[in-house]
Amino acid sequence: MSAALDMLLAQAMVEADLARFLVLSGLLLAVGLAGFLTRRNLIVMFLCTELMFQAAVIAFVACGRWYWDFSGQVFVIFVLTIAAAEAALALALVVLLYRRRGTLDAETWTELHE
Amino acid sequence: MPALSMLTKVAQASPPVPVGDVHVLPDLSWAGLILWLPLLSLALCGLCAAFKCRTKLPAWITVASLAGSFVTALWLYLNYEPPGDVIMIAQWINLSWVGGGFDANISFYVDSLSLLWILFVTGLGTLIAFYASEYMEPDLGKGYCRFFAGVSVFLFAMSALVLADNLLLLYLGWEGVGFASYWLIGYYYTKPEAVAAAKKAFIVNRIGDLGLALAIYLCWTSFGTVQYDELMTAIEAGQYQVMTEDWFVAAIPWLLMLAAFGKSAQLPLYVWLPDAMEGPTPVSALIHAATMVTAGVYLLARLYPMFLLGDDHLALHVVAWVGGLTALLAATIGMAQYDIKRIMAYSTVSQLGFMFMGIGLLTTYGAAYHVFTHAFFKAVLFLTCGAIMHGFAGQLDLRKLSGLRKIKGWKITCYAMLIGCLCLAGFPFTSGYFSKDAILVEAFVTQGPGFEVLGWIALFTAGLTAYYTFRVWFRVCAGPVQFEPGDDHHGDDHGHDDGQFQPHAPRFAMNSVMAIIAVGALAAAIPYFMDSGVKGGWIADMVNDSTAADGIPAVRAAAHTGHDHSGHHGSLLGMDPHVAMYYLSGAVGFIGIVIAAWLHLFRREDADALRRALLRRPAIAWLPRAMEHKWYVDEFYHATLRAPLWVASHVLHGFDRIVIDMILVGGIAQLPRGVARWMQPLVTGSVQSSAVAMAGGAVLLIFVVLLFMQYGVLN
Amino acid sequence: MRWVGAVVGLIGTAWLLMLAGQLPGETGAGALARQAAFIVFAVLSLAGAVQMISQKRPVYAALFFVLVVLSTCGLLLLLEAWFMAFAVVIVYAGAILITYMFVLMLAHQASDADNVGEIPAYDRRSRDPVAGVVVAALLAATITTVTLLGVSELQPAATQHEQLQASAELLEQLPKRLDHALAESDFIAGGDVTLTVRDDTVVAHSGGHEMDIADDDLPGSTSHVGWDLVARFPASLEVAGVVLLMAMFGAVVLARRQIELGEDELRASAGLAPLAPDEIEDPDA
Repeated sequence: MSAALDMLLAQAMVEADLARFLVLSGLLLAVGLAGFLTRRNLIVMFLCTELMFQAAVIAFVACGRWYWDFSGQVFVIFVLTIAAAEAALALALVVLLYRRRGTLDAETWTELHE
Repeated sequence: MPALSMLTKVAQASPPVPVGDVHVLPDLSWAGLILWLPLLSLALCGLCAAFKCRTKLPAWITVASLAGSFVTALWLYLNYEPPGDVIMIAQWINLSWVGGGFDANISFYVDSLSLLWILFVTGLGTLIAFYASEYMEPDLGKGYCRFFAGVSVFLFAMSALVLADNLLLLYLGWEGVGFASYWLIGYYYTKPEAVAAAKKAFIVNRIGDLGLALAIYLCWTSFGTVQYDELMTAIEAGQYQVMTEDWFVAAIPWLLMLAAFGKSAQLPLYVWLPDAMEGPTPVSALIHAATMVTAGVYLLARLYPMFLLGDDHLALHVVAWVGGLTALLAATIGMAQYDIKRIMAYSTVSQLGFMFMGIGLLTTYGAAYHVFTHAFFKAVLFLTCGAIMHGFAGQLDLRKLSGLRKIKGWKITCYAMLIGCLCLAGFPFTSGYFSKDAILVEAFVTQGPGFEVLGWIALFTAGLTAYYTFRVWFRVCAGPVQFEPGDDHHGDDHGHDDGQFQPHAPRFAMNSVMAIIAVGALAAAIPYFMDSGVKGGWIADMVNDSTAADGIPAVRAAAHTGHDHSGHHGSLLGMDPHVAMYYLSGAVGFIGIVIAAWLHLFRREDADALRRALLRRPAIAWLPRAMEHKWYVDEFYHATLRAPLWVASHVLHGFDRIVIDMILVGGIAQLPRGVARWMQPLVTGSVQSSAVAMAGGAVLLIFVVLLFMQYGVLN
Repeated sequence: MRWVGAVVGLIGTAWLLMLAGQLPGETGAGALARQAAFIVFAVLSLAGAVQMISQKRPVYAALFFVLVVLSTCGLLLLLEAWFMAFAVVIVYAGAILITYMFVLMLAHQASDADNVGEIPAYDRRSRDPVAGVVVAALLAATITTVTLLGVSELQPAATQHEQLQASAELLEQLPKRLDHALAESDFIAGGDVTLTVRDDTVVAHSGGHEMDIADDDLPGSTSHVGWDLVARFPASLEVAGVVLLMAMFGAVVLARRQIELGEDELRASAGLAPLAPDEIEDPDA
């Protein structure tokens, strides 16, 4: 395996590769957004936000590889951190909301209108 | 007296600052009392109203302050030395900039013309205020205070007008008297006719005021100053800068004429004066007979040199003719009216016409003398009419009053009225005789377009005047005793026991004032005989010493050679005009009185029969009908001015209401509402719809930026 | 049958990766393999994502999300981010998704007590799919356009030289590793050691002696990441730790049982005396 690693090492990235990764990231983001805007189940909505995080992860690492700057990957660590924290709190809130209305439907919370 | 002489010595001791021909003596600022005393009385009357005073205190305050003004005016006169002083009272407007400046202070231009005016204004003002203290008794309380406050304002403004040193202060006084007149005409503000009359007076006056304002602007533009002393100097030296247009200077006399016609009720702006009789009678006596209406004459006299600029005195000719025609017109209307106050009002218009005729005929002396005498006898006529109105509960119809002379307590009233009527008719050797003479003579002496015809017209009018004046007297004061009460029952009945009306005779205040003024009317003939170099006595002295006479060729010649040149050209009926006029006017007056006596004293039924006969013949029926309807002038104004304005105002009101309010303002207000309603479905309250909107907006923004970048706008 | 297919798929993926790693160069088989691997992982992730958002049952959605995560891991491996790949799998699939599963089970169990197996309405029908999908499509279009238009204007990629340079600089900061790298040969360090890059290799200089350093001894991406995390962004590291702490606190607070306190207890907890009966206003009076 190290030989393979050696080979892989020190090879510059091609533009088309970067473009591919970024486009994929964008598509994943769009799909995640579509899911967030469409689904009514609170938990699934948050799951879609996690999907958007994934897209971000791919984009960061791809750009970091392009410039050979590892701060891209470092930032991904922080993304993971925040995602975890957010997931924990979001789910706690969802549980509370669920306890109040007895349902996970996002449509029951519509008090911000006239 | 020693204090007075000491004061004058002090005044003379301070070094005068020569401005042209005039000395400025600041120490005579006591003269400011003439202005400040009426203001003080205004403030005190206001306090009386605030404290709900129900006594005659406001009257005494006003009488006292006006008497103080009169005394101060007298003192000024005693210290007067020709050619005249400018007394600075207070600083007002002093502006200066590069290349020019504007000065208008509260200062008095004390020459003989203004002294003449201020003496009779304050004198009559005091007396009439005293009269009003009794006349206005039924209104004791707030109305009483209001009345005397109005009188004080009027006297303040009139004094400012007469004594002003500059056109701006004159304008202040001019507007002030207009305002006071409006306030006092509308005194009985619950009567719609009174309110309408007040508005009419003010609005018609305003037309004149426009003329005065424009004249002042043009004066300043052409002469660079609005102060009399500088103005006269500039005119005399012929140094006036023509800033922009040549016709500016020529326009000034015409504008002044407009102003004078408005204020002094000449054709075509006289329509307000008869209606102004809705005000209380002391107001009519003071303002609309003796003082305010003479302000127009004063204006023209004061600014006389302006009219004499240039060689053709076209403005003066117009003034003369307008005056003459107004006199004739008003006299014809007065002949056909039944309300005695209205008749007196028309006679005022007519006599003012005479005064303007005098101005136009180059005899400011005649005009001023007539003003002086007219003030007295017209005041007394109005005061007696007022006494009648006061005593007979508002009855003014001469068909319903008769033989008052024989009623107990009315003798003074009737004989005072007789004196007034004699003066007005120009009965020989009364003051009115001499003053009217002075004017009529000039018509045959001065050269001008058709002045001889004018003279005959004026003579005819004098006859008419005598007729209608004595019509009033013979009907009201002579003949069998008959009366009917009028409609004003002011509160408690003046003795209404068993349904019989008892007239309320005037008491001390009213009687004394009527007597004093009647005596004054007779005494006004005396100055004619007072010794002086110029024919016409003391009045002529006063007038010819002032700016009113500058420029009159005859007077100038007299000043140069020292003896009087007047009256040697022109002839009347083959004789020297003065002599001829003595006889002619006396004869005309006499004829008028005789006809009046025949138709209204001895054979009253004949008067009614004559009228009916005239009305029956269609060929001449229009004449009496037109006269009775005041020649339909008011109707003419209504049709040409008021009705179109009324229509225009309604159209504009509709436009304002519909187009501006409903369509523009309302429509624009509807716009946000519509937009909001259109966008309301977006706000559902669900989180996801908000998220959709947010995301959509963000994406749209990125899209737009992308487009910009792509097409190189931002790059 | 399914199991066989799963095993075959896994082996195939692994072989593909190996192939991609073994064959050198930009052209030829190596590149082809890498491209094929990319396509496979990309398709997998997108398919999993689409399935995830359109599943009626939320548990299935979570499972498809796991698939997405695994695809992401593969993509990260393609990008030579070894540590990241596995970190993502561990944290996401291992921790976050488990939490989601727990909560899903909790909520669904309680709601579906009387009609087990029936999918509730809010999972069956979405609110306004058109608007959401349109917006998402616009977003996709925008990002794609921007990427494809702008990628040619980027700064050029890090060349091999620069990559080696970065590795050399890092190795200089790691004395133990450097010693380990130099110890295997007979390199006598005569003082400070400097590293330079020459023709595809990293050369160590010291006091006139030179030595080539083998590629194996160069720090890999993980070392780079660790170094950046600790040396370049220590503060962020600390803050991340604090954030996690706060999240823990928050979760604990939120998850406590909420008791509705009565008025008296509220006043007692605030330190006030309870209201006397006559002070209580009667709303009917």
